[in-house]
Amino acid sequence: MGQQNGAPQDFVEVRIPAEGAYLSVLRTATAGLAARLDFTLDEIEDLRIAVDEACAILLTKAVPGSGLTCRFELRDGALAVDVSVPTLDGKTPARDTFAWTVLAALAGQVDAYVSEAAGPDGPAGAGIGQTVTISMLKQRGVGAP
Amino acid sequence: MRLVVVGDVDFAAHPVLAARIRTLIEDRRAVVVDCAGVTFLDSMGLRALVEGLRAADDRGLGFALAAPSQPVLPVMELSGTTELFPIRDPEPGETGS
Repeated sequence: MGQQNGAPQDFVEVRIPAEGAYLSVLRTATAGLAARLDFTLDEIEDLRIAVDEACAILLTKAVPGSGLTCRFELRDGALAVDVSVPTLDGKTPARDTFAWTVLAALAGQVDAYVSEAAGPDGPAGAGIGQTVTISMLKQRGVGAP
Repeated sequence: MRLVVVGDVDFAAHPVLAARIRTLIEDRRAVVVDCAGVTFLDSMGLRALVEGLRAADDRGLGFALAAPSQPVLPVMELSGTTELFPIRDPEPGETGS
């Protein structure tokens, strides 16, 4: 303990059907994990919204019937969250949307990338089935603007 | 017409809200969306409100929010849409559809 953003301490992975009905489960998990790390109530709410926005962005392009994976990395003073789903287009999300604007403002650091592994329906780069991940890092005590 | 919205307005719920708003506007009714009971709102829920506002403007109808609750405000502020919506006072005695 003691060092900021030091070595990962614990991992929690939650996997849900890629459907909006399960997002409330992820929001609740996010709040519980952030509370474990002593985030403030405002920071917890920011994280809840940020994770929700990342999931909503990915669900709009998710392969129907697939699963959305949310991986939380609990660090000392920070929570890193990776949200991944197999997509229809294999492309990173547009950044000129309300959703991305809100996500970027709340999460602190945020990025998106496409898995280099081939999707089930074609070679790498073909798009369909390729996993897209939105990755964010929220530090405790660093307020949102 | 006062539309009372209760609960989480997220990816799962926004099509329902958008459809209710659309129906009211197609009936040429001015809409006040009562947000006092909203427990969560994300950009998808906000999109339903913004689309409603635009559709109402196109038809010369009023579209306002009442009692935008604490969960509603951050997303509106972060997306720069707070000033778009006229705000009405809440009318606690009235319960619309």
